Amino acid sequence: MSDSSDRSLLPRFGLAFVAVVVMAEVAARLTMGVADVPVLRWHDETTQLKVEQMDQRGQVDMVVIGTSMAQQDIVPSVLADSIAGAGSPTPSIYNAALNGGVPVVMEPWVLDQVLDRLQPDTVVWGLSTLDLSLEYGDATLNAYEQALETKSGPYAAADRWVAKVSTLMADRRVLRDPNQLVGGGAEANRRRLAEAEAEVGPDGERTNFVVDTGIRQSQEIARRITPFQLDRDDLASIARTVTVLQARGIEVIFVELPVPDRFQALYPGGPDQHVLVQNTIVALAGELEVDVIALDGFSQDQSFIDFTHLDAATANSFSESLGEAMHSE
Amino acid sequence: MPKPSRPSSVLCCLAVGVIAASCGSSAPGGYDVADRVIAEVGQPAVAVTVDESECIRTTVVDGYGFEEEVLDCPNGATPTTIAAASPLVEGEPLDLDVVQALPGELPTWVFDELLSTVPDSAMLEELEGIQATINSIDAACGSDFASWRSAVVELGDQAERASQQINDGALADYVGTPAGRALGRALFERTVLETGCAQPGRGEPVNYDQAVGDGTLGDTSRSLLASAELSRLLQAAIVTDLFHFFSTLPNYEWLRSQRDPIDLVVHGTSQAGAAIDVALLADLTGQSVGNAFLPGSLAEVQQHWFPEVDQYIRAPRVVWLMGAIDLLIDCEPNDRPEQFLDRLENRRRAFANSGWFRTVDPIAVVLGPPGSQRVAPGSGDKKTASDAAALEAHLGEYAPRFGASAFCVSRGEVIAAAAQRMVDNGQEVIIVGMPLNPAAIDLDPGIVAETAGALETLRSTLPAGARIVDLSASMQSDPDRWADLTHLTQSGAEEFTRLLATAIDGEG
Repeated sequence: MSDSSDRSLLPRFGLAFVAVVVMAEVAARLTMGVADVPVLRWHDETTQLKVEQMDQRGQVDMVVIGTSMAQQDIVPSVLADSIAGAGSPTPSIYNAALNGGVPVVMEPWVLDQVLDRLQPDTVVWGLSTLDLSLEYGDATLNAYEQALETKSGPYAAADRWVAKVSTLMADRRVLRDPNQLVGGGAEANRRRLAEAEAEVGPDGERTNFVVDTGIRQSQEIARRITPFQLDRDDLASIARTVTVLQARGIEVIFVELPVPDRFQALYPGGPDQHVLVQNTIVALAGELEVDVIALDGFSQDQSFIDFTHLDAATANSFSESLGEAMHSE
Repeated sequence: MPKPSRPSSVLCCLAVGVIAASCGSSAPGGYDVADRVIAEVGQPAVAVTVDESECIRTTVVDGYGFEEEVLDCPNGATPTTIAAASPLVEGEPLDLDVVQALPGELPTWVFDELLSTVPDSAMLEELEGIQATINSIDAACGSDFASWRSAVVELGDQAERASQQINDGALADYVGTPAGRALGRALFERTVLETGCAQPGRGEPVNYDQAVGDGTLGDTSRSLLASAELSRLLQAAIVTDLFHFFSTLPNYEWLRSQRDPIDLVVHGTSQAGAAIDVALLADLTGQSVGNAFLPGSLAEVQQHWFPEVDQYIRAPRVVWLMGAIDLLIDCEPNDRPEQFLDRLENRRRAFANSGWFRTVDPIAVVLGPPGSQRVAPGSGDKKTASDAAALEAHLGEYAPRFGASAFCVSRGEVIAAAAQRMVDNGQEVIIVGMPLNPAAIDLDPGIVAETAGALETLRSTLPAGARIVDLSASMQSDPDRWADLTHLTQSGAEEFTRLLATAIDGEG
């Protein structure tokens, strides 16, 4: 008798459990709908914004990748007009470079996130010292690997799968913290997202032109390249990524991004070490049978807002010259 | 032409029946290309190294007693190691930078050579007397206990007199100079480490009870501490080479004096020292409690400290406090673990060469036998009110790192490994997420979720038998509970201790 009672209880418990889950899901959706707060599922707001842009954009002809240097220096609309102006059809271009997007970050970002969304024919990889320096990039890789949408492992994969259908799961970090829903945390999240929106152009390009050539910035940049050694992991990452892209019929072009004289003065071995960076990019291109474009005349201090990023006018002229060079090659 | 398509990671993985981390993101290899490129262009390290002697050496000691040695080299070049570049050669002029930087032990003759750098004075005579005594210790070391003991006691008297003279102003222009620092190092090695011992390790072990009873252990430890202190004064350092300023020494005092078992031991940084009211936690849990916190010591140091604590009290319950600083903000590795190990090794090697004390706890050799009085289990100092200046200083230090923080992955691995060892020892491990100061939340509201997320990440790496109690979302409304960014006041400690007592027994 007790056995049959136990058996009859099981379906009831099951139904009750399902009912609780459904009610919680409904409550979560209502709450998130009313609160209207951003939920960060990527490693930074800019990345999250770019994913949204890419999802809306769909297929493009060309994608730019790299660090924030590539993001700022290569302006898709100008590059597209330049290529078209040189007699070719106007290509659609999206700049998918990321802040701190060194090669070990670009590899999973491009192969797992960008290609499916944009399906480009050509990938333009802007490269410079920070892409190759052993001392730079771990923090971004660390953050990337910890973000909800890019974390690896079976639990993370299952979590992402469930999050696609469940607001309760997708937004649980916000839901369990009232401060993130209605308090200062929500405001801060909105502020950070707004700042990211202000710094990302419609084609993914970086539009932060705040001048910062101060001593602290100088020290930070020096720290990223001191001691200066080539990062074997980054070089290998480039090689692997390019190999995959080429195997899929995608053309890859390396672009050597300019740095100002004030940056070159920070090399621990002096400005001559920049030649090593240039040689490395050329050698890498040779190994991988990739075209490389290096443009002269963009290294003046006054063309940069800081130690690595071009100002708006020079970014436009650099992109224009890049388009002309691409066409000629 | 149709574009090549690539299934997403999850679909790719499901297609082969597993959801695996390796799915999707990378092709294998690439290092062959990397190596060929580097071979072609050349790795630049060789071009930017210089001999250390070309660099300006500065040693900074922080408030915790940890030292940071800064080498300012031309053009930011990387210094080559002294050992490879400039070995010491007897009979040739000494390079004082080399003496300071040389790894391992200095040759015994270095101390004699360095005496020639001491200005002619009464202090020089005292130091020459110490030199003669050291020679007597060397001769008797490991072979003649009575002579060795007598010489060691004499050394203690001489070292105390010399220290007094320095404290009175002698050698004011000498201490702290490269010569003074070198002499201090050499003195420490010749006395405490007995590097000139004639028969190292050959001494017949003393009977501990007898050595305590007849005063031998007290006399020799007094001499040892006096030598270490004289070494410190010559180096113009704020700590001896035996202990860090705030770390370990106070802990040894209470750990050694325990007669009854400790049920619950607290670990952590100074944050843990300030956060726990030991007596209150004992009352609330009904267990005996001790706080073995180490200021300035994150998990990389703590992992080396736990076995030391276990020698005296292997508490069945370990409560390890950590906060946003541990998990998110201060991820950069530093050389504090190496410094901790250096001093730990010095304590273990103190007078070890003689062999007389090989069966005695090294801490008893250094500090003498424990007193008969029980010292109350450790508890950190508590401030009674907020310190606005301290808060501002902390914010200035940490503010640039807020907002760009990510879980400290390598530290997480250290924590998990340490927890595993404790679990293997049969200990229950409770890692507690510390509350966040409202000022930190104002600075970076996202820190609340990030801290909770970091604890979640950590939780997934812990072994069975270790658990996390997350109190990071508590105590966020009352700034008066905080003395500065990370340390609670006395009233804050009481509130936190109550929360902790409830949580650790409520979430088990």
